[in-house]
Amino acid sequence: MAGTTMAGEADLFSYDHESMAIEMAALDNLEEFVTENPSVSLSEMLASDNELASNMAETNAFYGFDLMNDRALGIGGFWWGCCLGPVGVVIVWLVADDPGETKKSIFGCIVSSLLGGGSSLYYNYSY
Amino acid sequence: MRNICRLLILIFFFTPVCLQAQQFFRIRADVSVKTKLSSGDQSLTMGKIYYDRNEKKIIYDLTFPEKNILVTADTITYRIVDNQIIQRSFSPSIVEFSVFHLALSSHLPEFGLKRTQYEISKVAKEGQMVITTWTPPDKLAEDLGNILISVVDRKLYAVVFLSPDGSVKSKQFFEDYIERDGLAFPGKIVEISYSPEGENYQIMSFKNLVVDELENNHMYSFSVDGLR
Repeated sequence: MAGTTMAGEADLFSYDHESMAIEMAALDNLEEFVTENPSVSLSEMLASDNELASNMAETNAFYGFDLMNDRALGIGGFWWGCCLGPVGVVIVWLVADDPGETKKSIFGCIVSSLLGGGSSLYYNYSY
Repeated sequence: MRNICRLLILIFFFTPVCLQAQQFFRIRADVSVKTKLSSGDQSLTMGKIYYDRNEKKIIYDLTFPEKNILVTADTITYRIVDNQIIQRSFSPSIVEFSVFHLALSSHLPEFGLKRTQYEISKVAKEGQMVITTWTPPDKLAEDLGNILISVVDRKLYAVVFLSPDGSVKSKQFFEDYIERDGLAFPGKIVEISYSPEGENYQIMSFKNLVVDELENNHMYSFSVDGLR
């Protein structure tokens, strides 16, 4: 089963941790605050002009942080992400033994979004 | 001779117990999901997650940004506030392929792909990493690209999703594994997806992991029956 390794395949399995930390710094600060104040809600923070909440998504989103809309069959971005595990599993679900019209009807919509690795982040920003 | 008999008795009685200890069935954890898009939009969601692989329902008891409960069962996701169903949506995902189910059933290292029509086309070792390339069936080769899985020390390390033309569409990294009662579960899952506008990030973190608890049955078997 062993095959020839393509040059740089291992390089695919890496990312810039420092850049990630910088990008997520505001969210990390908010997370720390909420951990220390577990009963607080985003609406309360916004009402009190808490700076940590100033750039966060609105509270009336379906999934709480649903920055992605419902175009993908009403599925919020939350569920495209890791919350349901590797989103690519939806891809494999499609190619599993699942006959019927349901598969045909959703396939076109889902594949386009799942080509991004299963995140409707890609879907929303490419279509 | 007596000692041998005692040893055999101990083995006879305790081996099934030890084997059963590896059959995990429940998981509970504090969860945090941070998302940031290339547009600058960002959000935080926090709460607890409950999953029982016999119930096959994923229950999120969320506290931030607002208190609500999300239940995914079968193909429906329910959003519940104050014991009222305020929204339903179709969810084609299969809970058996969630990170929770895969971890509990010891299928996480291969991402659950063994139970699909994806096939292994290549296996290679680079340093400590074993990289497996999974290829979609021919009938979908124009629509779906390969999935590359790397495993380090028998734990899922990362997954890379490729488009049919071979470009990287997204990556997921499974880090900071928590060892609890013999179960290894990623304490952090980092997802990076690539769009023409830039990179989008999502980090899911787990803390206070509890495995196979016998309490909180009502959460693991949360029923939407009877809710308005």
